[in-house]
Amino acid sequence: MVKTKTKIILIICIVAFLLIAALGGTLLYYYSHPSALKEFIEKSISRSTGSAFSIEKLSYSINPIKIHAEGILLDPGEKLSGLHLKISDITAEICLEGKLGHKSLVFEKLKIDRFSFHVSQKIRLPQIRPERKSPSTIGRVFAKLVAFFLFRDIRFQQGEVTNGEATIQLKDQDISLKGIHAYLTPDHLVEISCNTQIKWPDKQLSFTAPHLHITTDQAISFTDPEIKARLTAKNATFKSPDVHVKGVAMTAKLTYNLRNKTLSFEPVDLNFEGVTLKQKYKKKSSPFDLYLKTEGIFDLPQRRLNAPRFHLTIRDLLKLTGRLNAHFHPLNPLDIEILIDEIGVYKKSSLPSETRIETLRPGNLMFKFGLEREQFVVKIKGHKAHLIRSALAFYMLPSGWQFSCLDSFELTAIQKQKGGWSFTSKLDFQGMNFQNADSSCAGEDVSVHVEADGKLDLATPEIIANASLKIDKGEILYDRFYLDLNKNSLFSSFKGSYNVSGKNLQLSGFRLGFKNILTLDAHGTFVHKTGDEKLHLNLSVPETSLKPAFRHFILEPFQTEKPLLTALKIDGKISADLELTCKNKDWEVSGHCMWHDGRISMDDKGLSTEGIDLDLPVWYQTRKTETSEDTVRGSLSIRSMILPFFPEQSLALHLDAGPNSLFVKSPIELKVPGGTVTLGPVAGRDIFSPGISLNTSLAINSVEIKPLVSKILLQPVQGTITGRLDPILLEHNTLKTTGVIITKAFDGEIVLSDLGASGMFTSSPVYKLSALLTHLNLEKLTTGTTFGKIEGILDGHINDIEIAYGQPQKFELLLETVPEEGVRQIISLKAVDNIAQIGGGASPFRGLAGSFTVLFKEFPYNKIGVIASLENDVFRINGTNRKGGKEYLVERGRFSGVNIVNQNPDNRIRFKDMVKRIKRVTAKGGGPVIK
Amino acid sequence: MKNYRKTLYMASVLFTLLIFSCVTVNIYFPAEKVESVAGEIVDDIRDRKGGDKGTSLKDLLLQKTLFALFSSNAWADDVTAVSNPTIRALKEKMKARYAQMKPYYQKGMLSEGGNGYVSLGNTGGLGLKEKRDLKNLVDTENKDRASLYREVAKAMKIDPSQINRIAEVFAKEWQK
Repeated sequence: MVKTKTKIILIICIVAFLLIAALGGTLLYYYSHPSALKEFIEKSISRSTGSAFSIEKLSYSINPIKIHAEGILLDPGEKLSGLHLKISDITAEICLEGKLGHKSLVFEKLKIDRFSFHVSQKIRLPQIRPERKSPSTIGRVFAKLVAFFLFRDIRFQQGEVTNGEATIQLKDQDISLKGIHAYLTPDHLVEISCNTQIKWPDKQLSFTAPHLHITTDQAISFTDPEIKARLTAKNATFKSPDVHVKGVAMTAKLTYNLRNKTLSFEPVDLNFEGVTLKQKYKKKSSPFDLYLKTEGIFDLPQRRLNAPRFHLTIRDLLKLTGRLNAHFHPLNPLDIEILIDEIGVYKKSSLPSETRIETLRPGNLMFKFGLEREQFVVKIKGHKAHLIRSALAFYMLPSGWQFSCLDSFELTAIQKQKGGWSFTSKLDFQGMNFQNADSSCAGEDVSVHVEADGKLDLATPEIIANASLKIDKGEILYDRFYLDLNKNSLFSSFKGSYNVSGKNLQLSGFRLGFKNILTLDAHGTFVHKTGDEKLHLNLSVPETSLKPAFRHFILEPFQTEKPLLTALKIDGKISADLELTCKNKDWEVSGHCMWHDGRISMDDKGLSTEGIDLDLPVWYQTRKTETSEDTVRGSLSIRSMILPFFPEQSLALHLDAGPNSLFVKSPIELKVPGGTVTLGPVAGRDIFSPGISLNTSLAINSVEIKPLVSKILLQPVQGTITGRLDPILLEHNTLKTTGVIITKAFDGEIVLSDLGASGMFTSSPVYKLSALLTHLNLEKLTTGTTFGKIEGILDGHINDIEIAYGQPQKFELLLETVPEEGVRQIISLKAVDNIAQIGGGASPFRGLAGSFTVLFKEFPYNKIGVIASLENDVFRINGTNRKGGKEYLVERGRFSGVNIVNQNPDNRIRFKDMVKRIKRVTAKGGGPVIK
Repeated sequence: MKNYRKTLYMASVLFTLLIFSCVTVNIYFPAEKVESVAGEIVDDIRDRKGGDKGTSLKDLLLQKTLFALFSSNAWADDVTAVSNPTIRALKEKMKARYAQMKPYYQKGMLSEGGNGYVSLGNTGGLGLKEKRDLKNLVDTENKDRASLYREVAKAMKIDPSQINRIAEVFAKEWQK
C-alpha cells in the first residue's frame, strides 16, 4: 500500500519536473529566439480571435523585463469583420514584485504611441450579462497555479497613450475619438483626454466635444472596489435640424464600484449655452441657456438609473426640480420616469438687476417614457399641477386674471411601428373660480372636462383628432351674459384632421352649445398657408325654441336698460343655416335664419302678432363691393298682426339679401282704419354696421280720418288724409323724410312736413315735424269741445315740433283768424275764458267783468292771433295783434266783444304750469269760473 | 451785418410768439349756473328736498318776507330752470333706479367718480347673477347720465365739447 503511494507521488513529481523543465525549456527557447516568439504570438492570437494578427517588430529583455513592439496590426477576419486595430509603437517595462505565491506583475512603464482602433457595425460587441458563470475546476486550478508561480495580480505604475484614434460605426450612429491621450501617473492617477464626435446621419444629428477630459481622483487598484473619476467637457456642440446648442460644458464626479458594478455621479453639472430652436420655415428662436445639475446612481447589473434630485434651469425662464428613475430592462429597454417636485418661473421685474421667481409645487406631476410591447410610450400625469398658474406665469393667459382650481390631467402618447403616434388625453378643472381685471368675465365653482384622442401620422404628416369639452357646475358671467351651468351646461365637441405640410384643417364635425338653450354645428375646411388663407365653414343651428335663447341672451342682459323688454312675450322655433367663408382676410357669411310659428305680443301696448314664419336671408361681407345682381331670397309671413291704430291683418312679403343689405322689393300694403297705406319698397344698406341706412317711402291714399282718429278724439272728424313721403331715410339714428301728408278737414288743410326723428335707436328718441294750417273752420273745429266754441277761419303753422317721451319738447306756433265773407267771427264766453287762462293764467271774468257773463254767452271778435313757442320747458305766449301799444290775443268786434290783452310781453310759463292750465281748460264740463 | 440779421430773427420770433399768445379761444361755460342746475337735478333724483322740514318758524317768516320783496326775481329764476321732456324722463328713471342702487352705495359697492359717473367698487360677497344685475344698473345709470349731461348742454346752449366739464360739476353733487 505504502509502496503504491510512494510510486504515485514519484510519478507526479517526475511529471511536474518534466512539465517545469519543458516550460523552462520553452521559455528559454523563446527568449533566445524572439522571432519564434513573435510568430507564436501572431498565430495564437490569430487563431483565438479568428483574425489576422501581425507584429512588425518585437524585441524584449529579461533583466530588466522590457518589451518593445512595433507595427502591431489586427485585421478582422470573416467573423469579426468590423474590427481593425493598429498600434505603431508599444513599450512596456515590467517587473515581478513580492514573495512567491504573492507576486504581482507590475507594469513600471507602459507607453503606446499612435494607435488606431476601428469597429464597424458588422461586429458584434460583447453583451453585458447580468449573471456570470463560475469558472471551471481546471480554470480555477490554472488560475491558482499562475497566481502562485507567476503573479497574483497586475498593477500599472506608469503608463502613457499618445496620439490614439478610435472610430466606432454602429447601426445608426458613428462615434469618432481623435487625439486620444492617456496617462497613468506614478500616483496611479489616470488622465484621459480626446476629441469626441458622435453623429446620427439619418437624423442629421451631431454631437462634438473637442475637449473631453477624464481624471481619476485616486489610484486605480483591482483590489479597491471603487474607481473615482472626474469627467469634464468644454465647448461641445449639438446640432439637429430643430435644435442648435453650442458651448456645452459638463463636469461630473463619477464613482464606479467594481464590486456592485454601479456608477454613481455626484453631482453632474451640465451647461448648455446659446441653445436655439428652429422650426421648418420659421426663424430661429432667441438663444437661451440651459443648466442641469443632478446626482444619482446607475446600477449596471440591474440596469437602473436613479437620480433622487435634479435641477434643470432655463435661464430667465424656468427652474425645475425633480426626481428621475430609469430602467433599461432587456425586454423593455427603456423605462424613464420623471417626477417634478418644484417649478420655478422667472418673473419680469421693473429693476433689471432684480430677479424674481414664482415657485409652484405641483402635487403630482410625472413624465414617463418607456417601451411597452416594442412601442415607445410617453405618459404625462398631473394632479394639482397648477396648470393655470403656470400658464399665467408664462404669460400664456392675459394678465390681470385671477384663477383658483384643482387640476388633473393625463396624456398618453404611443409611437406606432410605422412612425406614427396615437394619443389620448384628459384634462379636468374642478371648483374653478376666475375673473378678469374688471370682473366683466368671471366664473364660480366651475367644472371643466376636456377629453381628446387622436393619431399623428408622421409620414403624411397628419393629425386626426377627436375632442370634447364639457363645462358644467357653477356659474359664469361674461359682460351682461350670465349662465347657471348647473342648468345650462356648455358643451363642445370636435372631430377633424390637420395636414401639417398642407396646413389644412378638415373639420368634419364641430358642435358648440348651451344645454336647453342653443346649439351650433359646423363642418368645413381651413387652410392657412402664407399668402393663401382660406376658410370655408357650414354653420347650422338645429331647430330650437326661441324662448330660452331670448331670455338668456336678450331679456335678462338688457331688461335694465330697456324695461320695455319685460313686457315683450316672444315664442316660436328658430334655426339657421349659414355658410361662412374667408379668403385672405375677406369674410363672408350668407344663408338663412329661420323663425317658425313665431309670436310676439306686448299686451299693454296693444301689439300682438301670431303665426310668424320668417326666412331671413343673410349676406354679410367685409369686402366692399358694388351692388350685386345676386341675392339670397327669403320671406316673411304673419298670420295675424295687431298693431296700435292698425286693424288686425295678415302680412306676406319677400325678402332679398345682397351684400350687407336687405330689400323688400315689392311695396307692402297695410290696412289702416279708413283706408290703406303703402310702405316701400324698403332697402336696408350697411345693416351690420353702426352706419346702417334704410330707404323707403310711404304713400297714403285718401284715408278717412273719422275711423282713424275715432279712438283718440271724442268728436267725430270728417275728412281725408293723403300724402307721400318719398324718400324716407334712416341714417345714423336719424330719420328724415321728403314730402308731405295733407289732412283735409274742417273745410281746410293741415299739411304735415319735415317728418323725422333723431336718436331713433337710443333710449330717448325725439320725433320731429312741422304743420301748416290753412283755412280751418273754427266752428267745426271747436263745436262740442270742452275748449268752447269759436266761429271763424283759422290760418297758421306749427314749426319745428319736437316730441320726446310722448311730450312736446319744442315748437313755434302761430295761429291767426282771417276774415272771410259769409263767415261769422264769434267766440264763446267759455273760449274767451280758456284763452285768457292759457295766455295769462287767470280768468278775465272777475269782479265787474263777471257780471257780463250773465248777459252774454258769446262775443264777436275782430281777430284772434296767438304766437307761442316752447323750448327748454318754457312756454312763451303772445298776441300777434299789436295796436296802440297793446298786444291782443283776442281783439273784440267793432261794436262789442271782449279784448284779451297780454299785459306781460315776457309771458313765460313753465311747462308744468302750462300743463295744469291746459288740463284745467280741457277738463270735461269745465267752464269759466265767474267771480 | 451778421448782428443785424440776428436781431431781425430774434424780433421775428418774439413777434410770432406775441401773435400766438394773443389768440384766445372763448368757450362759453356758465359754471355757476351749471352748478345750480346740477344741484337742482341731483336733489330731485336723490329726493333731498325733505331737508327743509326742520326750518324754524322764524326762518319761514324771513323766507316769506324775502320772497315777497324779491318775488319777481324768484319767479324769473323758476322759469329759466333747465328742463325738457327728455331731462324730466331721465330724472324719473334715475330716481327710480336710485332706490335700487342705494343699498349698494351704503355697502360701498358703488362709488361716485370725479368724472360724473358711477363705478363698481368691491363687489365681493355678491353672487355672479347679482354682480351682473348690479353692473347692468351701473351701465344703464351711466348711459342715462351721459344723456342727461348732453341734454343739459343742449338746453343751456353749451358747446358739446364741454360735456365733460358739466359731468365734473355734476360729480360734486352726486358725491354729496
